[in-house]
Amino acid sequence: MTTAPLPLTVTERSQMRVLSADGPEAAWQLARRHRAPLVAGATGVQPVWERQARWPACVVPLSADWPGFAGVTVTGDRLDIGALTPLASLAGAPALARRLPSLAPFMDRVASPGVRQLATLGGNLVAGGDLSALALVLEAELRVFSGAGWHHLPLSAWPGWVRREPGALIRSVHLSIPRGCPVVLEKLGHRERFSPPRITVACARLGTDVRVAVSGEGGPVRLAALEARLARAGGQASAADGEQALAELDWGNPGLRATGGRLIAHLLGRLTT
Amino acid sequence: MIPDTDLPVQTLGTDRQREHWWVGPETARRVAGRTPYATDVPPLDGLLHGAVLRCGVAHARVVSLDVRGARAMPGVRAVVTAEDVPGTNGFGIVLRDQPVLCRDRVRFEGDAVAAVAADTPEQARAALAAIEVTYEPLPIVGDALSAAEAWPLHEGGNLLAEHTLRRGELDAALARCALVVEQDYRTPRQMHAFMETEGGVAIPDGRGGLCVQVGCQSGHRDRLQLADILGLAPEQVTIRAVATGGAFGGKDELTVQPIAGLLALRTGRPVRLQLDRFESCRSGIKRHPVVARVTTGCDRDGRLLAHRVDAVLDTGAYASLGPAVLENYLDHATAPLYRIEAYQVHGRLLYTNNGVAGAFRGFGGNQATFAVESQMDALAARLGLTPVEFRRRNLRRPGEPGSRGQPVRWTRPPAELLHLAARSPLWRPSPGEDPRWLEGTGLAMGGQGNGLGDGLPDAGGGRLSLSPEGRIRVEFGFVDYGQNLTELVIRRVSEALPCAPEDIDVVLGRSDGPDSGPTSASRSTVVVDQVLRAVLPGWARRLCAEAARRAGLPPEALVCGPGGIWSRTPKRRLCRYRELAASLGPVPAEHRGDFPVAPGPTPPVGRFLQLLIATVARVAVDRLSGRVRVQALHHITAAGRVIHPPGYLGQIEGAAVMGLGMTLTEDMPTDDGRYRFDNLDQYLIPTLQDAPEQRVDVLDDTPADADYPVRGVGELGIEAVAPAIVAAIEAACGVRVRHLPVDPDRLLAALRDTEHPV
Repeated sequence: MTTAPLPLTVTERSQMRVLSADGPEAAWQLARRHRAPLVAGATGVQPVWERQARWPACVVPLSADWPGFAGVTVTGDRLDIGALTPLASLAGAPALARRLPSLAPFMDRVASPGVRQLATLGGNLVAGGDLSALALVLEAELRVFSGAGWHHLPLSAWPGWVRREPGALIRSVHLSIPRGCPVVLEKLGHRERFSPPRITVACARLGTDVRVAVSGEGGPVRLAALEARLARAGGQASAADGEQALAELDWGNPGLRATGGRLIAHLLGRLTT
Repeated sequence: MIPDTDLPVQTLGTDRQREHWWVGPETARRVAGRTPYATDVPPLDGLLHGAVLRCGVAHARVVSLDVRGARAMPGVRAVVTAEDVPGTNGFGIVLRDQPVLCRDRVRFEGDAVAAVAADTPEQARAALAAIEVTYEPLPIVGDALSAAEAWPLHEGGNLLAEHTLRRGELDAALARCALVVEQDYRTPRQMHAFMETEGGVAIPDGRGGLCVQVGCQSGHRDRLQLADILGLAPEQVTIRAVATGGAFGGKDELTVQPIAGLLALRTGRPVRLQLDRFESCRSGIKRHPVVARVTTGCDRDGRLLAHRVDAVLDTGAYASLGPAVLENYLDHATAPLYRIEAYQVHGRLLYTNNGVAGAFRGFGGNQATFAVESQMDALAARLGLTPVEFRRRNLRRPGEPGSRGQPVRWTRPPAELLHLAARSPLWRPSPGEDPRWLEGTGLAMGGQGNGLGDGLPDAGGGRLSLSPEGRIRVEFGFVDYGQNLTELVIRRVSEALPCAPEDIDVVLGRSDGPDSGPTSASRSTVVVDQVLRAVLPGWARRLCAEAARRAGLPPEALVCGPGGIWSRTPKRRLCRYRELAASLGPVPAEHRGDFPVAPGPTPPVGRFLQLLIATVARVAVDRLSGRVRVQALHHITAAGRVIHPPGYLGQIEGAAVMGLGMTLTEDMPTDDGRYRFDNLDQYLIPTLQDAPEQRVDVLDDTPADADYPVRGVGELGIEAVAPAIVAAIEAACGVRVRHLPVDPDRLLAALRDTEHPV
């Protein structure tokens, strides 16, 4: 017997079917079988669907109840964070606050309080959101599942990898933050709160290494050339250096690159004081 | 009193006991989210759901329109097109040039071409998708500056209106100027962004007419237009203008009423029509963007001699209230607070395919004031005078005619507001500790008039009566759309009669009740005060006379009070209002009068009842990014007596935040005639975090029995915010911004040329 395939999209939200799975592997299979998106907090995709007045016929929600998918665990310098941990929980997690004191005030500028209750760390990273720059400078590693099974993957490799493995899902994010490792970050939006990021800059110093990454209108990227220059220049860079680093990557528009250069120089200055 | 001044000024909200601060149950309902939306109706038999097919193209000829497929869809009860409009297929307060449903041509992306009523919203939307329309694109008129020479959007061309106001000999005055500044100014296409989008329910009355429950601004005016569209007599149409979540001018025109009404009459069933945010953004009215070149000159002593304005206003595809906005823009562009020997203020209003612009809080005036006040600062700087001193030398004085030679009635001299603004604590803030942020303070002044102005018909009335239950019923045709008119009326009646607030029922917005005129032009408070002053004393005397007859006492020994009529001494209640209602009936008292206009010229020029504001802004400019934080706003207002302090404070503060949004983030740009944004995740209004600390001072000692003791302040707070903020930005970083909203990238680029390395 054959059945008619489900439509890929519907024009009413109420027609959308939610397919529940027992675990990540089953979710991946369901999503693949029904060509349905995997969703976590869905705060990013819902406005897109609303705007188009087209919703996927089916969605497969990920579950924070699955082992390893939510919560923050600290083991020495290593932090394991479930991908479905809501942004509001990240902001309030004591373990993170001790290692990343700059995180809580930063999180206050990410989305609105209501959205932070639903939006997840994994969703933010997948969308190249506010936390991408921070995760890049901390060289975050992802635990992911796809048709190729379970893998560890650097965050920086995710975009290329997911193109080869469509439908992959993230279980958790792993970071290493040695004690005494200063991390500074700042988001610039169009207004004080609940604003899409124009640019977010994150800088970290691990020993003699200084790392710099940005996210926002030009997408998430680690500024490797600038880091190399910093290694030669004792960790300091001018606004012009930062602006040039962004220009070399053709990141954003010229006006935003000027701002980015200044923010980078400013944060590098804070990193050393 | 504020220390160190003899002027009668108080900071609102700091002494609530003295102000008899009172917040009533309507405020509590709104804050708790319990005020119903216009489309929150109890279950209605046969309720249908309406949906509108909008063209989605900026300019096109409609080649074909086929609704047969939609009519055959499940649950569909009616599909209507232009062919189904029984009366006039056009609406508009000034010109009825906007089709209810377009027949052969669409002029902006929100134009409606068909509408559906179905059993469910889903069925209605599905039917829209089944309507087949073929469009033939027409050239897009996207730039108001060149629109006059472009493809005509209406018969008669794209120049909808052009006016010039003149005084004196401009060229001669310019020739005598020791100093002339000429600058270009731009203001944005701002969206009202009300919380409640446009919506309503049309309910057939079974006798060929209908009742429309809707969020709007003028039930009586809507009734007349709607009757014409539906081919009905006005008496067959009733509008219930219910409390709505914001309007700000954006619901002054008809919104959903014509299509909901058409569908209801076609089906004989109630039809609910509520726009979602996307549809509201794409089809709703916006503020007129203005491009202006302004030339202003003065002598060596800083006395203004000459002032020239050439302005272009983009009214979009249809007139709406554009001609009236142009008039108010020009009025404000004459720099009415200042004595100027000669001016020539010229404005053109152009049709384009850029949406539709119309009424918006400020009504063109604040766009003009932005340019005028910026010119004052520019001249002051060139002369080496402070902005305060330059203005002081040029401000008009009470008793002088207005800028157009007309009588004006201020409640205090403008110089007093300037004096207080110069002493604002925002000029002496605690110094910021972070060198990243450059801080500065600026000021601007603004004036406004109440009423429709320029001799337009502007009558309004209200009614007072006693219900059988003994409730004091106060009726006006106005609409409560967030300004909390209900509690203003309760406060005014309970103090003047007097009685308890709980004795009063306020009924607003019924087109079968008294016609108060539109809820616009900051006129409601004035009309309410006029009506109540006219009817309350006599009405109270009638009640007291009846109570006196019953008690066998002289009427003068009695007064109205909480719950009924009281004896003066000993103070005790003699009878309840309910008992009086039983013996006297409803005791109706009604008053209708013309809005106060200037004595003298016929027809009157401009607006007679004037109110004033001086706004001082404190800002911080980020040297890293060019973004601007408004840290504090201090407003000094002179607008007559304060009837309801929370309402006054809310109007000034709320309007100021709206002006802040226009200054810093809000704009609805178009690309090839289509809006770039369609939701509040892209169109960014200020949030609570962007709202600065504010202080509102009231400068007034108007006696209660003065001729015109009150003013409407709904638009006053927005008047001077933008120029005050850009003045503060200039004070902070040396860069003057003349194009709004402030572009942080451009500000940073300008800043880079002037600063030392961070």
